[in-house]
Amino acid sequence: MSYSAVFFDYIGEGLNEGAAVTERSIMDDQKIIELLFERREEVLGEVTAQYSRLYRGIVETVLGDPCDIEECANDVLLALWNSIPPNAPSNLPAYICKIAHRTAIDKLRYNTSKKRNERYVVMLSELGECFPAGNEKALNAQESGRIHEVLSAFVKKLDPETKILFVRRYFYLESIGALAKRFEMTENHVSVKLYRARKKLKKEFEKEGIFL
Amino acid sequence: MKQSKNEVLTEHFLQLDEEITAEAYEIDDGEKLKGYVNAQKGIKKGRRLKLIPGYIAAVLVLTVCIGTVGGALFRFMGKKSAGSTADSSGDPLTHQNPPFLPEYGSIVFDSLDKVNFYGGIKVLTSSDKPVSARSSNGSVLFATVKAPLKYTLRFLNDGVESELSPSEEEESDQAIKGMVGSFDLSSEKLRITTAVYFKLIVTENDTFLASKVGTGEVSVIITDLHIGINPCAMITFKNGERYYSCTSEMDDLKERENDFYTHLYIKGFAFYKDTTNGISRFRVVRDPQTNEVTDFSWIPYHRKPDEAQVYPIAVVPKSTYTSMETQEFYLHDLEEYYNGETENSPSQSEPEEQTVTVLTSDGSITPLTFELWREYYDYETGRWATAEESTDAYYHLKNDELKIPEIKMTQSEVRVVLEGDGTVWDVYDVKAYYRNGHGGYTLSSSFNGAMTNIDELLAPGEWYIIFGVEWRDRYNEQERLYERHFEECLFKLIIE
Repeated sequence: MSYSAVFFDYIGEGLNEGAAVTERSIMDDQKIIELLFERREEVLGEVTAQYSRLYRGIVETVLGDPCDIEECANDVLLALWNSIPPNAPSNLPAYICKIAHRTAIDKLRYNTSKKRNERYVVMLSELGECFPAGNEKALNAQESGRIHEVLSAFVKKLDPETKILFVRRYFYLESIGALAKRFEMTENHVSVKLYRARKKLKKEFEKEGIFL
Repeated sequence: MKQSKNEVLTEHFLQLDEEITAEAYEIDDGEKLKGYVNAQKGIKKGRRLKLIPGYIAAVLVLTVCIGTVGGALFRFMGKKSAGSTADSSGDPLTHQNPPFLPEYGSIVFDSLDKVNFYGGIKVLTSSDKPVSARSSNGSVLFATVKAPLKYTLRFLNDGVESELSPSEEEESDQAIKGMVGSFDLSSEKLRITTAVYFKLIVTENDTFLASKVGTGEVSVIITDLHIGINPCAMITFKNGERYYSCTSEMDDLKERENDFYTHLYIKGFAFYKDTTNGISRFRVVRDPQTNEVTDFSWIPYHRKPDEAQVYPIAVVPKSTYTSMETQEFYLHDLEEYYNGETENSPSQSEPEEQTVTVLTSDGSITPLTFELWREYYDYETGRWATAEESTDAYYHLKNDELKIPEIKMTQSEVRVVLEGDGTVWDVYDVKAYYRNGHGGYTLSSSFNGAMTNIDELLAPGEWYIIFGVEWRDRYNEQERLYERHFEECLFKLIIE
């Protein structure tokens, strides 16, 4: 059993002694962060109740193996516990997503022999379209910074509908089917919007001379 | 390596501003999305309304001042005869003389060469005139230039080594020859941000360029012309009535040095790529401080680019004019600028029938098409509306008994030809399915779209290919947006 699984079995025991999660009202994000700062372990139950669907969704998108998913979901909570404090994120859901994404990718890299989730592979290949081809080379810190600038500016300039779809797809790793269902669109409509956005992003990188 | 490149971008997505990611998280259903979109439109309109009064006043004042001076200058220059030999006397132009302008009313815009050349001259000699909101659909001037758009979906045969696979001493790329894109400029907005004019002295020793435009004093225009959203830095040489243009591989112009490649050339309103003779280029060097063109050279193809010979071509001293004022215009604005108002007013005719054809070396077929949705301007509500169809091609493939047109591919190319009065726009999302053992269809590969060499291999067998087509149907002058519709096409591809 991994360290994180042991850790959260312990937390689970504590939870069983308290009120059932479903009976509590949803806790304010700010309150959750305060409790994390106070090192109150029971707050992780709250995080699980409110956000497990969110971070598990991301983990499931990246990883294919059910055991890995389970382990990684626990790792996400551990990483959250270890990073707050000192971090005090202004937006907790986005922060949890970042942790979930990174944790899942780390696990993926660790288990190189294991198959990636097909959906993640498709998502990655979509992102591959955004980079104009150039000499394959490693990026230095300055170039990395420029990618971030260009990407941020690009996303801000997108029309409102495309922006939401784009961020939900590539930050929250939501599938095209899920996006279509959520926003009452057809999958093709979502697909086309994302495709055109990727094309525009590629042009922005080309304009800025960023090749990879 | 490819995978790590994608993950690099994934990492950067994780760094997106929290404001953006939080906003996207909050908007989690269709109603909230609609509300968000409408709220954003409201904000933009408010900003525009606030700016207009002051903006209009400033533009009016500026236009009157520049128009008075520029108009007088233009008329004066326009009265000089076309093809004047005054500039060919060998006397260098001074910076007081503006670039060569044609006789008023003499330009027929029948190629991208002229669009680029005279678009650049316009930017150099005028201030920005208000862009006409008029658009044309099927303008008579372009009746002969409705070249159908051709896209190439390249499927490589699995396991077959190309006969042209390179040895160490041969070219690494299989020769490519053909049209790679064309435009109907009757409704595309053109934009030039940088225009550079200068003159060269071309002699018989400059064999390639002389073969294209002749010898003597040749005018050159370089721009970062944008046609709609398509950028294409271009160089155009003009000597009398002879023009030659080719493009850079970059979308914009660099400050100091720019290369223009002769394998990426212009013919009519189309872009062509031809690597059968290798890749040669022109190199233009400017002084970044003064923008003066200081060097111009011809670099013919050499299989080892570092060892390529560089042949300088003489630049006429002090002949450079540069403008970095962005101008946007339509082709009819350019016609009006040089020729005045034309009698041929654009007509709002109904678009002709749109057709999709798939062809290989074995013949051609018309694929099945399924309309997905239309975007149109609803004049009653004053909004853009979408009429949606939910059943896409894959749904029909799975559920309907279709008679699917099939075509064989024995060589490495499948072409998709879109024809329709210049309203074609794009092919996207090409997907290849195969029949699986459970009576259904499995997606094997999906491609970015057309005009891309596809690395995926399709093995011999039967494939069901679905690709999307975006058609632009009609230009809405008021909203400056296209009414368009999307459809999916389906055909069966047999690879032997």
